[in-house]
Parts: sequence; structure tokens; C-alpha cells
Amino acid sequence: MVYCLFNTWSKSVLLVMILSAVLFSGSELQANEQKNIEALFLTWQQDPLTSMTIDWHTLEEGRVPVLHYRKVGSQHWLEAVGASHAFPFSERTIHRVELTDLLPGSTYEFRLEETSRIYKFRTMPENILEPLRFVAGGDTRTNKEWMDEANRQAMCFDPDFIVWGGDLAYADADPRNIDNWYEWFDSIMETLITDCGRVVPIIVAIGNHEVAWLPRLERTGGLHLAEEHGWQNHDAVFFYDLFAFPEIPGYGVLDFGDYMSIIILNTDHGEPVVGPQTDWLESTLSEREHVSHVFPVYHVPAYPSVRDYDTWTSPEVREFWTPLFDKYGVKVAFEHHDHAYKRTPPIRQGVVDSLGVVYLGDGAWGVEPREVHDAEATWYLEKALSVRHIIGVTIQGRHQHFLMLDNEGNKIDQYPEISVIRKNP
Amino acid sequence: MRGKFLVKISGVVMLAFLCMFSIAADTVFKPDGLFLTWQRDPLTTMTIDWNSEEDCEALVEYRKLGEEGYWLQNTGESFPFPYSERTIHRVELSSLAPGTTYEFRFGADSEVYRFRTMPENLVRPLRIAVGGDTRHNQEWMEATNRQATNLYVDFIVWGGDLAYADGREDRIDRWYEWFDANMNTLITAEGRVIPVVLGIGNHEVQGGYYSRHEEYEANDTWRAQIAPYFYALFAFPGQPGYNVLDFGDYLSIVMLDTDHSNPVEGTQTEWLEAVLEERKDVPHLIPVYHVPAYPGHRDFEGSTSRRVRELWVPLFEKYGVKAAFENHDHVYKRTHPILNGEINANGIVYLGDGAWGVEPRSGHNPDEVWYLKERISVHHLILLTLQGQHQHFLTIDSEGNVIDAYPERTFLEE
Repeated sequence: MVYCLFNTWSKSVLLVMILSAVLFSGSELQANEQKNIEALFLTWQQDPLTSMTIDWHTLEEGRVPVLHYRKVGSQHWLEAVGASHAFPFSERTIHRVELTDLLPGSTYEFRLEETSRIYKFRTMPENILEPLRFVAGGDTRTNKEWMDEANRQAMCFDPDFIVWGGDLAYADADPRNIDNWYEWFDSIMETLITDCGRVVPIIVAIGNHEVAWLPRLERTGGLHLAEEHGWQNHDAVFFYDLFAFPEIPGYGVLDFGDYMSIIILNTDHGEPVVGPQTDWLESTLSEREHVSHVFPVYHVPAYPSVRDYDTWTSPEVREFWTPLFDKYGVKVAFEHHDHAYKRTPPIRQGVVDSLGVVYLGDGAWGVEPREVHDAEATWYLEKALSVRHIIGVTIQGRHQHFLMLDNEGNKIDQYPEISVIRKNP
Repeated sequence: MRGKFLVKISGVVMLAFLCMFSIAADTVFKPDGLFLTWQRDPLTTMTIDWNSEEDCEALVEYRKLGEEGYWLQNTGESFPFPYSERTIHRVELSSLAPGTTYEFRFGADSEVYRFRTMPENLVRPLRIAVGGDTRHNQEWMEATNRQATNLYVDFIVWGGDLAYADGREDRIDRWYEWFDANMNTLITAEGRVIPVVLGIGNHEVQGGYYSRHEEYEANDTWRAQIAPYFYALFAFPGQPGYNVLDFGDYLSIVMLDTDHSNPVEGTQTEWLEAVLEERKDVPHLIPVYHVPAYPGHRDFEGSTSRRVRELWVPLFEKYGVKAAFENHDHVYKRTHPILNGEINANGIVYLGDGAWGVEPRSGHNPDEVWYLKERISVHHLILLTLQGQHQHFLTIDSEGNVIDAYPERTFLEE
């Protein structure tokens, strides 16, 4: 048994060992090790300095998932046990293990039962004396090629993690679109793992394409599915099963030490903007007034670069959330949904103001970019481009910088805007 | 000495008309020195100094760029350039429009120059070249000046040790070189003159520090006596040698005097606390001074450095300063963020240490000095970009190479 190599120390782990021994004969185990996992997805449910949630998907079911991990440089593998649940409308099973009590700013190795490959992840640092970098975007996949392309640009940034603000696979909570999810996870497996095996964690928010919409189901001849399963508008059939964070009802906060908080919000995709969510947002922001870097991330933009200023949920976001951003010191918010690149001027209390919040968006990671409003003629747009892009964020100490690359890696914008260097003209 | 100055001033008045006629019709008038700064609101004013050996009238003609037709006029004052045949003419223009380019000239026969008033807000980036210790020789000063001009900066900030004349009559040529360097390199191809906001350093003062003068008393007469060029040549900071410049509601530059013509402790520290307290909601509150709290080369226990750490740094921390600019040590340095005397990501980053146009020193090794994150022995300027609530620092050497950035850049940007 390979298990003798592992540092086992708890009763539950012993139980798993026994179970494993009972379930698999030696030859079965060997066969099992050759098997490929279908998907691998890392995120956080709590403290990104000391925890990591690891999801992987396989085609088998009914087993307690186990993985082995160690800090790079350590001799002893540790074992961790999680739980499994079904990938909805799929043959796949989602295995989920959360590792806790990890050391901040460290690289860990891990190995899944099903594969002999050793993967790695990094816990987030205790402080940001050195720069921390992440990539933001959304609206990730109407075809895999585009998603792969943007993923590769994101990896050039060597990100500590990625945050996607909704409209992920465009499966529309419709089981007939399950291949969209498979493709989406394939893209992550193929392009968001470094050559050295480091898996980049991803934080997601919910968007309109994660939820059911009955008129759409009717249009595509799928209304019977809704009737069969009792689906209502905005039911998210896949989202909460596929992702450990955010939990139902689709908003939550991740605190990175005392230096950064990422607030994931739900712009009416099964949870109204107005009501408990806004109350929660206010208390969450007020408790984090002294955090240097507070980034709200949500799907429908307060300041749309493509759609009408007064459509969708935009007016509600402006009425209920942006005043809270102003009040509690948010400097930048990430918006999506419109399929274009945009940067607003700093906006406070609904007017351009040096002390305001800059809104970056609008979700064109792996989707067809749309025609934008004329930035010159739109008071709230400083820059708007019809282009697929990623937003590279660097935070260090109390300072932030944003570098925007298009799908081919060209620099399309930055904030603050630093001069172009002209060497000895 | 004072008497001699007075005689010259009356001479200016008498000769005012002669200047205009003394220039031949086919020559274009160019001053010997041209220096733009602010004494107040940089959104709506501009102080124009020029010096010449001819006793011209202190009169500037100006108009918005693109407005053809008549020129507006404004008059000012003339002062003697200490120990020199030159006269300093100073005209302050006010009630200007923010974020606007103006043309100006010194009469019909003069070269036409431009300046830009500062913007109303920080929706667009404001770019400032920051440094100090500007001139061991004119060539080095011009090289770094040229980088500032290439970057189209809105203005320059120099935290002391300008011409290295030490307040001495026999070193007047250093000032001439200093003004020459600015005439040669701080005017863009379009004719825009880059304004400079500056402070005092030890090389502006006889003996370097007020404490070298046993009889010193903290008054205008003594300060002007021990730093004769500084107070005569520059409208800002003016007496008493420290001052604050408020750019709308978005930026305040607090220019301080580290024991050169004023003690750090006492009146100046009290003034500093009041100034910072009134500006605690300004997103960009930027102190600039000569002797570093966190030296890149010299001893950490130097007495002025210690006083700055004891008396000023706690005020910076209390009132929301995010970055401070230091000079004097002739290296490039960037500290870790520091709070309460310790490294802390919520602290203040100190950038310096004044090597614009002087021989760089070896400096401390960042691996051996707890507070240093970066130290490079090279001529440099620090490009400070302000936009909205955000600040960015890019350090450029005198050849235009990027040598550091904060926040630090990825290889993508290199």
C-alpha cells in the first residue's frame, strides 16, 4: 500500500485507509491511478492565507474523496478527506476537499487519488510588502478557443488567483448545454495550470447565464424540463453544485489577511439587489473600512459600456450599492455583462469626482465583444473598447495598479495611466 | 548688502523703458533665466520669474493658447539677483482657467513661451517628476532634466540642494549654470516651460544648517542672511522656508525645511501638524524635504534624520500620508511601507534620496538595512503619477531606463 508513506494521524484518516483497502484490490488501484480526472478547480471558502478548497471531477461515484498534500520541501505527505456530490445532469462526480491550517505565502504540492501527477498551489501571503497579483474579468466562454486565449494571457501575469464576475460557461442552467460546462472545465485544466503544475485558484460570481430563464427555455423547446423539475426563473441549476464559493444565495466575502477583501455580489440572479443582500453589503463594508483594498465584484454593471444606462439591474446597483462603495472607501469595483472593455472616471455620488470609485469592466474574457457607447459622449466612460481582454491587478502596500491586455497580449489600458517612456528621442 | 539691493530696485524703475528699446528690432528677446513656480492655487495662477542683465520692466503678456488677437498684460516686481549684475523679474498671473495652456512673452520682441495650469480634478493623470540634489555639474543636471521633459510632466518637485552654491558669493556661477540647464532642457519642443516646486537643502545655506550660526534667531532677516540666494531667487516656498501648495481638493505638497534655515522642532512642527490636520481628507498629501528620515546612504542615527522620525513621521502617519519624498543621500532608495517604526503594509513608503544631477554614492545594502526595499546608485527622477485616488511611482534613470516601480511591475511591462 502506498499509504505507508503518508503521515497519518487521525481516526478519520484511518477509517478512509480501511475503506480504501476494502474497496480496491491492488490491481484496481493501479488501474485507477492511470485514470484521468475530468476537471480540477481550486477556490476558497474561507481565509486564503491558510486554506484551499480543491474540487476535482471523476466519472465514478459513491466514494469518500482523499487527497495527499505537503508543503514543498517537506518529506511527509499529509492526507485530507472531503465529500463528494453529483455533477447535475452528468455522469460526473464532484469531489471536494478543503485544506485548512496551511501556512501563508507557501507553495504546497498535492496529489489526487485518481492520478499520480503532482499539482501545486500557493497560499496567499501574510502581507503585501511584495506585490500580489490577480487577474479579473468575466463572461468567459461562448467558445473554448477564445476562453483558452484569454486564459493564456492571464497566465502571463503569473497571477496568484483569478476572479470571474459571472457568465461563465453560458449553460443557462439548461442540462442540454452541459457540454458548455465540460468545455469550460477543460479550458481551465488545459490553460490555467502552469508548466510546473501550479493550479491557479479561481473565485467566481454568478451571472444571468448561470440561471434558468423560462421564456428562453420555452423559446428553445425546453419548457418541459422546467415543468419536470419545478424550476422557476433565476434558479441556478449548476452553479451552487459546481462551486464551493459563493454559497446560496450567491454573495459572500473573502478576507485576505487585513489587506484585501473581495466581495462577491449577486445582481438579481436569484437574489435581489435590494433587501438582505444590500443590508449585508453595508455591514460587510463598514466592518472593512480600514482594509486598504476592498474590491466588489458583480455581474451587471452600474455604469454599462454597451447597454442602456437604465436597463437591467444597473439603476438598482447605482441606487443601492454604489453609495455604499462611496461611503466605505472602495476605490475600484469590477463589473461585467456588457462584453466590452470599459474604465469609468472616478465617480462619487453619481458625478465625476477625483475622490470617487473607478468602475472597471465589462466582461469580455471569452465572448464576442459588442459595440460600445462613445466614451467621448458618455459622461461616465473614460475609455470604452470593443475588445476581448483581461485586467491584471497588482496590489502592494496601500497602492494598486491595473494593467489591461487584449486577447493577443497587447496593452490596451492601464490605471493610473503612466507616461509612455520615450527613450532619448 | 541690503542697501545695495535697494539701490538696484530703484534702478529697475528708472530703466524700465530702456529695456524695450535696447533690443535690436531683428533680435528675439530671451531671458538669461526663466523659472515658473506657484505661490498659491496652481489651478488658476502662475508665477513667472525671469532674470536678465538688462533692467527690463517686470511685465508679462499672456493669452490662452489659440486665442488670437490681443494679449493680456500683468506687471510684477523686480529684485536684485544676489551678488550678480542680473535682475530677477517676477510676475504672478492669477484668475486663470484650470487645465488650460497659455502663451506668454516679455513684450512684442520676445520669444513666446507656454505654460499649463493644473487641472480641476484628477480624472486624467497628473504627472510629476520628483527628485533633488540637482547639480554637481550642468551636464548631469541636463540629462535628468531631459528625461522629465520627455515624460511631458506637469511639473517638477526638487527637495533641496539645487545649485550647490552654499550661499557663497564666489559660487554664483553655479546658479548661472543651474538656470542655464533649465533654460536648455525644461522647455518642451512646443515651448511649454515646466514649472518647478522646490525646497531648501543644506547646500542653499551657509554652513548647511542654522545651528552653525551661533547668533541665529528664527526670523526672516536671519534666514535670508544665511541662505541669500534661496530666499531671493524663489517665490515658493518663500519665508519662512516651509510652505504648502494645495492643488484643488486632490493634492497638497508640503515643503519642509530639515534644519537648514529653520529647526525641525518647534514652530515648524506645530505648523506641520496644523497643515496636515486641515488636509487629512486630501487623497494625495505629499511631504517633500531634504534630509531623509530613512537614509539610503548615511547613518540612521544622524541627528536631523532622527528628529524627522521623531517629530514629523508620527504626524505623517496620523494624517494619512501614503508616500514621502526625501533627498540628500545621492542614491535611489525606496523603503518598505513603514508604520510606527516597523515594516507594515499599511505604512508610508519613503522614496528618495536625491541623485538628480550629483555623483551617486554607494548607499546601504537593502539586505542589511531593515527599512530599505530598493537602493540603486544612479542619477534618477521619480515619476509620480496621480489619478483619482491612485498613486504610482516609476523611477527612471538619466538615460530613460525604468529602474524601479511601485507597485512593482511584472515582466510584461518591462
